[in-house]
Amino acid sequence: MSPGNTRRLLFATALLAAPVPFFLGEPELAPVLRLAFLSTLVARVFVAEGGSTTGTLLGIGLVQLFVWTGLLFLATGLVARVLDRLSTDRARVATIAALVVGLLGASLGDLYDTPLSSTRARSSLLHLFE
Amino acid sequence: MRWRSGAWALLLCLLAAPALAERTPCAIHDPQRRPWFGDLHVHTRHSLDASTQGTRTSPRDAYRFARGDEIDLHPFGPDGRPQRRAKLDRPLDFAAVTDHAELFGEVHICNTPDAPGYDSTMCRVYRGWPRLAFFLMNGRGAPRFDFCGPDGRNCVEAARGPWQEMQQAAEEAYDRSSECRFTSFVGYEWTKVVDTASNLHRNVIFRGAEVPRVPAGATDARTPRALWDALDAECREAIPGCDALVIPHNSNLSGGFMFAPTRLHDGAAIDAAHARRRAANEPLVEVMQHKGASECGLGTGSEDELCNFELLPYDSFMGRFLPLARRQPAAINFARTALGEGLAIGARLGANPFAFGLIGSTDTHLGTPGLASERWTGGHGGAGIPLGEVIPDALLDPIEYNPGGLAVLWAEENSRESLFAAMRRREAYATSGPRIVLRLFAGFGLPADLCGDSAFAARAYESGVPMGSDLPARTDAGPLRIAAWALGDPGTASEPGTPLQRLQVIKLFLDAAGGVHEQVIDVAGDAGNGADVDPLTCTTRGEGFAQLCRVWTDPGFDARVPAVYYARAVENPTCRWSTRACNAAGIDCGEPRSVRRGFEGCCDASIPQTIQERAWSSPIWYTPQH
Repeated sequence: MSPGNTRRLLFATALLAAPVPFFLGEPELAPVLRLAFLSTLVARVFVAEGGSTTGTLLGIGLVQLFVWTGLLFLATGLVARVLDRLSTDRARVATIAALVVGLLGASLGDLYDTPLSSTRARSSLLHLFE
Repeated sequence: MRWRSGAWALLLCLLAAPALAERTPCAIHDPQRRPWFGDLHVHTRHSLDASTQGTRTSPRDAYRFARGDEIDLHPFGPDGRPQRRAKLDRPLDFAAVTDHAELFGEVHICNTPDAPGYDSTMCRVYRGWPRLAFFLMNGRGAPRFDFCGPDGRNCVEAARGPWQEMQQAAEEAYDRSSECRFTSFVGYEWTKVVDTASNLHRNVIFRGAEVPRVPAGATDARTPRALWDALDAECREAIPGCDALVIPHNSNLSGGFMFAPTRLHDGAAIDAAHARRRAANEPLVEVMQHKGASECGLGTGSEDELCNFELLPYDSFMGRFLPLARRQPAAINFARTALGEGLAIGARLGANPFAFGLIGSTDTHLGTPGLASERWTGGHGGAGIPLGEVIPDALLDPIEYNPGGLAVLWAEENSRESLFAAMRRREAYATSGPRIVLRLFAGFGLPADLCGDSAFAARAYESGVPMGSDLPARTDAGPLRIAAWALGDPGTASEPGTPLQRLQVIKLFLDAAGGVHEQVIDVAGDAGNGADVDPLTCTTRGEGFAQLCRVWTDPGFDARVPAVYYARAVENPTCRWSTRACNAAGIDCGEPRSVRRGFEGCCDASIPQTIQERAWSSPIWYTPQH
């Protein structure tokens, strides 16, 4: 697997499943994809209704979205480079698979703090977007 | 438009007039007055913050609960069955449902499929992501949402539905028979914040069934003065028989604005007219409730050790949601400081803006008035933690919150007229939950042998003034005496009350330079009685007092100096609600593995494991005659 593909796979997995702390009225510990989803909801309300509070919350959400996306991009790039240099092909694939499967596996438990959810304060990946 | 408002007012008057007249005299009418226990701060499903956390309790349910019925509480399962129920161990005597007035219409539209605006983006988010919607909707002032239609008309109209339901529920709950078992008040909460989400919230309580067509919320009446104006224009001057009083609460979360020495509408210093108007409109302050006590702050203007009671570690709502923005509450956030400042302003202007009495209430967001027991660990939902579909394995309230308190009114009978008059004359007091009976009188000719006299009240009324009053100019009748009497809460057969530990008088007075001083005097009981509680089992140890009484002569009284006195009755220590909840969950802070997620607060050293429940009387003022 090329370093580029390794990075893309790790980056996508991290966006989908790596818990990151963010604040959108409540502090959550959830994947960046959820932050993006919630920010989209706030953006839709802002477009429809305007309002300074909604605008402020949207700004807070977008800033965090960019920061976390950037940090995860850098982090996964770093991991991809390390894997590329230190491992054989077989070991690299095994490590990448372990990382991806490990993260996705863990995300199936109630890994995330999601107080903004209407149904559960702690969620798994399967319930993040209910 | 004006003739329409007038026509509505006339129609309401015609409808309300017979209702007022249909009041059978109460069988119990005690000229010496009795303590009636109640709750004047209750939220139901019509409040945005309650509805977005899942509360389904209606105003009718809330009154049923206050009268002693068991009610269902959220969360509700897929089959619609409640996962918990609640019931008071003793019914209340009175209550008022005081939902947030600002978003009545918006919440109603978002929950009513046929309503215009139901399919708006905002309402979709409200239904699908209610907690997110809480933050988006709660911070909205004027102008109203676009989904409210031109000029917000649809939401203003829709607000009439919940408002009428609240009035009807109050009417149905009011016992107009001679038994006078329960009194309801129509009310609402005016919900204004300023600056960094600093709280200026106030409850409006109406005297009777005569109320404005729509409540004046903070969307339109944007300052306290605008609220008083609205109550004058839309109630007192527009509807015969209509009267209301305004009760501020949570000065502890006001960032110093609740008792600021300036007028909020223009930033100018309080003048005599404003001071008189404030005191007339706001005769009471809610000093104890779910979101903390507001009596005094230890280390912030007071060295009184008992001020360290249910203090929040932040001074505005911003601090609750954004720990990085937390500020410690300053002295001016507390009622005691305001009472002292009121003396100083009164001495300068001849009018005291902070001449208020004290009450407690719950501020329940579950629609459960009076559920102020530390034994209830099911949370109160003060815009707090949404439960979701199942009761989570966690503390159900932010650990710094508490179950709230009660309002107690000294009145001749349990009727709207009598109780409202008690509020107006400030013959009222607060408790942190227990049903402690507390009396306070002061007078220059007050007999020294009142304690133990079966005619205590009759003689005290005859020769002194009760809590909430102004002392007359000094006469030669004798020294200033303060008579304080407290009766411990007997509790119930299954849950006996806790004995009293001590009875105190708190005195604030001015020095020659206008500086405020405080004295806290133990007038009865024993602070060193050794009473204690085992936080592991919540078993209490040691003796206390079933009642405490003292006629105390103030040796430092100076007839040239303004002063204010109030009483505080304190129980022996008991377990705080959080200690009970943590124990029940098997949390052992010495065993980190037992501290599950959601219970981290159990091991927060800043949260006391035990508390001393208490009652605070309204003050009595002395003003020198110049």
